[in-house]
Amino acid sequence: MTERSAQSAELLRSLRAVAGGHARAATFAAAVGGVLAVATAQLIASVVDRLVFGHAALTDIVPLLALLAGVALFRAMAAWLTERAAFEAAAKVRRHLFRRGLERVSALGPVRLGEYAPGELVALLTDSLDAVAPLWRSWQPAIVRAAVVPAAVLAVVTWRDPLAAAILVVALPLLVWFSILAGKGAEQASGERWAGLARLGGHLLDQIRGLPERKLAGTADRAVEAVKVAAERYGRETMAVLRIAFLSALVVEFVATAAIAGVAIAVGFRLLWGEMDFATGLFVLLLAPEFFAPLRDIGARRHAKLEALTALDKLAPLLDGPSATGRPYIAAGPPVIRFDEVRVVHADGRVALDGFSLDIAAGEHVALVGPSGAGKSTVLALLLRFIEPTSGRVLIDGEPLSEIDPAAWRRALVAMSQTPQFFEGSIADNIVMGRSAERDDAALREALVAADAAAWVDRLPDGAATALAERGANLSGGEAQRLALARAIYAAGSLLLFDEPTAHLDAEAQRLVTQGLARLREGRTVLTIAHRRETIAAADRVVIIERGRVAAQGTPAQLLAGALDRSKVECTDA
Amino acid sequence: MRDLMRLVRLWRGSLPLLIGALAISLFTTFANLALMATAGWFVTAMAVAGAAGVTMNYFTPSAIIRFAAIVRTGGRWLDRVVSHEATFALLASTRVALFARLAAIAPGGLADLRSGEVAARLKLDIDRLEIVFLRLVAPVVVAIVVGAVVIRVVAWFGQTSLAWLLAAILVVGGLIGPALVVRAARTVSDRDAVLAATLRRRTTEHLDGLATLLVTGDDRRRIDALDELLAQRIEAERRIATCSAFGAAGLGAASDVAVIAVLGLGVSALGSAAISGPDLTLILLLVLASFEAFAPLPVAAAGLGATLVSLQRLFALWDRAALVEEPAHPLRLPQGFDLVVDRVSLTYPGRTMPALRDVDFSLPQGAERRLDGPSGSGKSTLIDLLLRVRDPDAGEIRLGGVPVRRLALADLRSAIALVPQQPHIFAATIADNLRAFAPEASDAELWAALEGAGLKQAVTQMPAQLATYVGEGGTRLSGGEVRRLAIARGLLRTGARILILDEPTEGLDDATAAEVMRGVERLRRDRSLLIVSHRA
Repeated sequence: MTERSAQSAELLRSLRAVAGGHARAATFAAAVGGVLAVATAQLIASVVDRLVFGHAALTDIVPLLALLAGVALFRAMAAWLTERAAFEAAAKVRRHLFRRGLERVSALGPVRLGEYAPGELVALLTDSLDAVAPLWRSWQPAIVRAAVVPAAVLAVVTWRDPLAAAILVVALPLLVWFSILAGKGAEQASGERWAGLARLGGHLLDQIRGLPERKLAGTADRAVEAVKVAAERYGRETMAVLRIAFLSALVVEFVATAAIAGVAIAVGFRLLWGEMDFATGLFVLLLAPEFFAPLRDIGARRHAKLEALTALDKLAPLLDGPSATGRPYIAAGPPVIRFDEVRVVHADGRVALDGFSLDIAAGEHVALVGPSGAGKSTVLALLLRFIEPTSGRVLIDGEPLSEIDPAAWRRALVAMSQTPQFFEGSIADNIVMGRSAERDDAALREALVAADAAAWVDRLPDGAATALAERGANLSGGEAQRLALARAIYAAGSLLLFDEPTAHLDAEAQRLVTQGLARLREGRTVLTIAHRRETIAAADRVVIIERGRVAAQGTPAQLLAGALDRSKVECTDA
Repeated sequence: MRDLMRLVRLWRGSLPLLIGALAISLFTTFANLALMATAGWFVTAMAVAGAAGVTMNYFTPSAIIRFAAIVRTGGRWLDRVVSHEATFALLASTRVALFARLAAIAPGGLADLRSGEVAARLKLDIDRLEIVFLRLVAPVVVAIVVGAVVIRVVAWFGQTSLAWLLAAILVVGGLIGPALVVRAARTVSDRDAVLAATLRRRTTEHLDGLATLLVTGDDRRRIDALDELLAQRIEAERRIATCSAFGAAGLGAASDVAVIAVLGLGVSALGSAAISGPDLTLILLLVLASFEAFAPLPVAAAGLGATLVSLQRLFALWDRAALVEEPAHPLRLPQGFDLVVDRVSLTYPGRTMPALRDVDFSLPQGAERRLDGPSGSGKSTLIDLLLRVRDPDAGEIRLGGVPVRRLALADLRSAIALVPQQPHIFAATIADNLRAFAPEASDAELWAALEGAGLKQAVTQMPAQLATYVGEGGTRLSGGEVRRLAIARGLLRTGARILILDEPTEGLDDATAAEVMRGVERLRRDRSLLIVSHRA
């Protein structure tokens, strides 16, 4: 773990620039606070000296006490400013990472993100971001204090009492050495604890998911037993890690205490022998603990730093990469599409398409048919720009698709899948989506009517302004598909990409959606993945895909009549 | 705060250990006070003696200093070890107790919860309770005791007015300050928790719906909205941070004010010889050291809100009720096992349309029946009712002539083996996955069940056979293998009289499906068989 990846180091560098001014303010305030602590010790020592040995009256020390109060005020302000500026720096980093993460997610798209386990990305964009924050919020000020305060203390003590300074200088490398030793142990142990935590989390989730079944099977008590074993093991592992950390803290503390005691003895006897004045003695004694405190403090915060760096390591691969750009796309009617010897190999080595060539004319309606895993979805993913060809080209009106800006190209697309996706917001929001900056109410109305959703939406308490539940959970399958249809109609692009949108619907809903789609496809190029007989029959041409290439093609009549090799095709009757 | 008391009651059993940890913590803190105070006195006394040119007994104070230094160093270590040990034991037992509670109300009582959410509560929320003792209860108790003792010591030196003044400074800076922080942070913590949950939910939605968002170009707007949500969350946290910074700065200022008070009032005390120079330094360093005990309070106060939110969530989970009740006087499981569903109706709470209306159905002893219908037609609900995951609103279900409500839940469920449509596969070995449902089964029995489910050959070819790890959620198995593994589980439950297979052949090719059904037919022997199918 000591060798961070170059990606991660680069990310850290860029984040330092993001934290910028606030981080510098926090650093400055932390340093000022440290120096003021030294001034406070000096003032206290002077006042006590004047009281005990100078037999001063109250009026003599009032100026010093006023000065002490003034320094106290500035110290409080410095402490406050450190906290606040450090918080702002961390906040800027979090917002920057979140936005950058989301933008990278958009640039990569769902197919390339498929290598992340479900939930992993969410954890990256939420938990990992929270874990990065302490790097700026607490580690940075602590490390500044650890650099500034001992240096300041040492400088002043060397000037006032070289012997005490010598003791501190001897103790310092010992303490740093033990800290580093402890830090190494803690680093390794912290990695183990994280692994343990992840294991426990996974185990709990596993047991909770399996609990209903085991309860019905009468073996739930064994699940409780398994959780007990895992929970206790987690506690034991954590404690084993902490015991190492505590033991090293003990050693560090021992060194610090011994050094302070050494300073006290050196000061005490020279005071007794009259070789030192009291003000200097008390000053040195007050400062000795301040010398070690920031160093011990960074030891206590090391785990937060490790967690932050681990989180950055995980974030770095997601964030690293160029953003997609390209030429703008100006639609000139329905596009002509050509796949030219396209080969697509996924990151895990699976070959999805292999020498796939196909020409689709402007306004043509092509149905893709084939067994699952043959590459139908990959063809759609290529046109959606969710994946790029490993070799070969996709041409739109004779131009390479890879040179067109994906966002601009997608404005020409309309896609409908088997399971439409909905988002928090109103029905209107879910139809308009990002198609127009301003909502076009007339077009919205038209889309709802055309999708046969108007009557149902009008019956709702707030009409199209009615809020959908999370992921549209309160919609029936038919309602969901009708809203998806309205969304497609409102979008009005020139290339339609369908993935059997009438699957999972009852007969009535199927009929309505099929009608809507028939209207929608007029004057547009259509590519649809087809399983059902009706869908196939509605196409101009059927293309059978097998093992990533075109196996056969012909008219729907030929296919349905059995002229094409039907044995290779999954075609369900409904 | 009521939840906090509930937690204390829950942890009652470990109270002696916690009190022991607290005692060590106090002892260590006092060693620190003694060290600082004696060192201050010692240095001043040495200087006074040096100035007067006399000798002094420096053995006693240096012995005290050495002893206090050793106790402080060792005590801090012991304190950390004992208090953490106690806390982790408590967290483990709390986790197990909560899981056992969930096991008691499963499956009905958990039906409307997302498992990820429950797991997060069992993990993160319980971990957060770590703070309750380590950073909340122990420091507050130590701070209060230390404050009281220091004030008492100052008064013992005859400095009554200084003692009162210090008491006021400690109460205001050390206790009221943090208390105000608690009050201010409480409401914001609630808001922060809500925002954090919303942000996670909306981020999940964003990632799940990414394809649609990209195609419709709506990702830009949604990213802005998510960013705005994070900004709101940071704003809530900013207020908590401001409170905590305010508390910490206030405490630092209080410490400086206390020093000024000691020095200012020390003038007259020294002048009237009510106190010696070394004693003044002793008091000064004692007061300075006592503030160290208060230092953790502002941060703890700012974090209290989040802890209380966690506690609230945990107890909300704890307090969930089961959907069905055990009969007060259960009847014995009958010999016969004809299953009869008699005019059963059920409407889910909050719905207007019934899920089942006047349903009649029977599965005679040893017979085989199919239950067909499109999704949403109530088949899953009917299975739930057979196993008493929930109870019908009207009508009755009888097993061997006895209403199922009159049977002990464990007896009823032992008589019916269900292979659900979406079985959960544990991240464990094949054998572990089977034995999770039949703990006593021998290897031979496992192989027989695998054979019956048509999976024997596939497992034989796996690298470690029965000990093969199947991956999280069974990801290293194909969909068909998962289905057959679940069927093998059902076949292993030889004590059951009725076997229910929900969509047993979904995702299997025709030849495998036929093989599986032949195996089931062979191994079911005299058990009744109910096959649920979603094909109309």
